[in-house]
Amino acid sequence: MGEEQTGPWFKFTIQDTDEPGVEIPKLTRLLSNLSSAFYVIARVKIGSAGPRPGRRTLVEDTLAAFRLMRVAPGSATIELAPPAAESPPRLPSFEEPTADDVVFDFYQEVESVDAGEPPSAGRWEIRRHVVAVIEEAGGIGSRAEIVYRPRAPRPGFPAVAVLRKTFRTRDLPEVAPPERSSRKRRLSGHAYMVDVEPGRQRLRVKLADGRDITMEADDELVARMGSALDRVVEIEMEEEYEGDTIARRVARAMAVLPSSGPGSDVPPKSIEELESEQHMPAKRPDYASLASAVWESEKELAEFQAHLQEIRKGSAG
Amino acid sequence: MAEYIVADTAVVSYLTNVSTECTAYQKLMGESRLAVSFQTRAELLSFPDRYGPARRQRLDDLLNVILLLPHSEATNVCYARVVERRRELRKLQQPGADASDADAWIISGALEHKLFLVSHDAQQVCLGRAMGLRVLTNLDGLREGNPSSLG
Repeated sequence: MGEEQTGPWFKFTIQDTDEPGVEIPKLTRLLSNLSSAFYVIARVKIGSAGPRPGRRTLVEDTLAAFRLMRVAPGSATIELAPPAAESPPRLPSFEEPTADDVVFDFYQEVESVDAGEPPSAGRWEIRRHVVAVIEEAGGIGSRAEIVYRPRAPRPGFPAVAVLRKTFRTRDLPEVAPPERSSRKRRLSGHAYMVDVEPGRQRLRVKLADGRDITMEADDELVARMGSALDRVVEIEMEEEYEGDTIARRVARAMAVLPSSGPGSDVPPKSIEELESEQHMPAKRPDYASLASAVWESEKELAEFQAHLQEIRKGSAG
Repeated sequence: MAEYIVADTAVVSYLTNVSTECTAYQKLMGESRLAVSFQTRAELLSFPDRYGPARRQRLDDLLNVILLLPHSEATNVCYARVVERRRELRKLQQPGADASDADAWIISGALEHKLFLVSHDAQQVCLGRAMGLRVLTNLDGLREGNPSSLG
């Protein structure tokens, strides 16, 4: 059986090294950057962008136990063996990525960098870390190669025994970073998961249309987050954008909505109370006139109806 | 207190005078005031970004005079009953079985506050009526089931 079938699970080789040997700090920095890239990929995959220093509980530490470095004249290689068996998820409420998910993602991002393509939506943080790996490799040699042997076929990709990519490590095509912006939103829903531990404070809310939304929590909210569990909450959230993609969500303010008690179908506020709270006008408004200012033509109305139909279709059973 | 009626999202938009349904729904609503579920508010807000700030302001002007029925524990309880009824309708292959979750939340808000619902969505109308809700509509084949009065 040839090397194609039996080689290591993941291999990162720097070719055409500048020196016959490689200084150890250069290799350890490369390994560290590789670990960081895996870590960021795993974090982005669970829906919370950006690394949190000091926490490496995801796939990366599983991979880290199986490192092997080989240095031969003209090349330097890092080899990773896969975990013997997938460990039980440490974040049971999240869809924790597997080691193969992470490594395959890394492979694809390297391809994208080499092709000079901009990062896909929401992946700027991953791109930054993958480029850091390639540039670190560039300090050792001018070309590199990744060989990855998937343990199972990847969805949407033909089943292959080995994926191989050779790429340059210097003079990488420049990609302009996306414009960053932020926007505040208010939402309400059922808070069904609260995750509070040092360095990780997150809240997961089920919205009325059935979608789940996970957000990080502002430090000031942490003490009150426990009280939100399994309650209906209203949250003021800041969404940070990279271009037109949401990179991060942070809950800035939270109110646990009033309830008549678990299981009660009595509205917490009467129509009169709502009317007074919301300062409804004394005189009946001219709804038709106000609506006519929003939808001014049949075309606009038809567009809205199509939009409504589309979003309703997404929630139909 | 003024009489309120819960309007489905499509009905709010049909109140524009460019709609062929405008007159019919105004007549059905009579002098009632409009209330909407949080679901409808979210759906309305999800659309107009492409039209810019002036249109958004006009939408806010409209929403500011429509009573918002917020999400509460009672809405959740009503929702559980509505989706259970929908499940039964699916087994029986009855109208209303294909109502969406959005429909279920809007029906839940009307049930919670014991208000009439006005809707132009056949599945929503059927599921609402299967829940005992008084639902008004101008849809062919369903308007015959409209309650005789809003009182």
